[in-house]
Amino acid sequence: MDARYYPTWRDFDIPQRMVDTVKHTSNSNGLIGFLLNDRVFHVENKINYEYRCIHCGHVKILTRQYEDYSSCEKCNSNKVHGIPFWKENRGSPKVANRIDAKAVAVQLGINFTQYFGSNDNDILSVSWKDSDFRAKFVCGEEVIDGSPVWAITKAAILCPFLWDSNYNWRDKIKNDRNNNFHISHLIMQWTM
Amino acid sequence: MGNLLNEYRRRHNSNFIWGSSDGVCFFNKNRKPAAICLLTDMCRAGTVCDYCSGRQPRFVCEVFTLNRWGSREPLKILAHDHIDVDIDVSKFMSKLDANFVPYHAKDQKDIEAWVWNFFLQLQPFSRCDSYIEFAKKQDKKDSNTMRSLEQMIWAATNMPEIFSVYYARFYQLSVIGRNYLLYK
Repeated sequence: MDARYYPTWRDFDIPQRMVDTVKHTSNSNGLIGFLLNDRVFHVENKINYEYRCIHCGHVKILTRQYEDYSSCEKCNSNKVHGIPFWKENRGSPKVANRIDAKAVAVQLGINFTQYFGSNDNDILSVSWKDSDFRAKFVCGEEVIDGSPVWAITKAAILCPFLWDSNYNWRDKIKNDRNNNFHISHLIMQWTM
Repeated sequence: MGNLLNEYRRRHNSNFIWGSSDGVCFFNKNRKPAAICLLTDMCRAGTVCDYCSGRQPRFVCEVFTLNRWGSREPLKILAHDHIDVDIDVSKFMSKLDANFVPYHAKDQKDIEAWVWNFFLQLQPFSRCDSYIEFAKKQDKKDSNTMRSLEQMIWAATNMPEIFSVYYARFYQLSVIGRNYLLYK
């Protein structure tokens, strides 16, 4: 019997509705690819800047944060409005083609060790249930899906400890703020 | 940078708010979200401010409040001023309105809930029947932050165009690429 306490969704103020949405979302949806990068692999959002000329409406997008753009390159007007934004996943990355289940499970093991301090031998349990595949990480939700890759991917995303906004994954510090945790941006992904 | 300033403020028991490049602070009025204060270093290539043609000091403080109902732009600029970096932002704000109180968030989710509640003052859902049904189902034991996040999910599902207005006009303006300066 495992005596370790695993945090729940309520501990981190994550609504159950969000969990259910991720569990039942379509496999072709780019949301899963975004969540996998964001929650499991901790890929930080890169800030891009869109500069819009107030006079002629010319739009220039800069991907380097500290690049200067003080006047419109088309009409030389100084009235330029800068808007920061994160790239949206309209391209719908093909997770199943790009990421294998083993890489996801290994990364989750690394995250587990980092967060809880020690690793258990069997954090992932999988089995076939009729024609569907069942995947569950020891600290997360059970996911049943027709494809093993998608089942393991969704099960990895749905581990509550990955959603702790008071844990800084980059600096490996607990009780520090995770400035890469943006629920509004995440919700925006599934409205598209 | 924001964390260091907070730590200093906590240890010295001070209410002083330092300006910081790409910083943002939120202010309440009568316990309701009331103003967003953006702190920005002027563009290095520019010598004159695009907004007011001012040159010095180079540090810009802009305060946004809600516009009138039905206006084309949801936010209006209450103040735009060039300030020295060692000026106390809370004093600057209290000169604009003595009732402005800085909002200290616990974590990132509190910030998002604050911005969402700020937006809701402009776009109340209280007259929408489906929202009233949804609100009845919400668990009263949940924290205010969690209830705000649930509302956001409800709005994203039922009224995606309204959620995108919140995202583009409020969230993008005040959160993306900015350091929040007032953590607890």
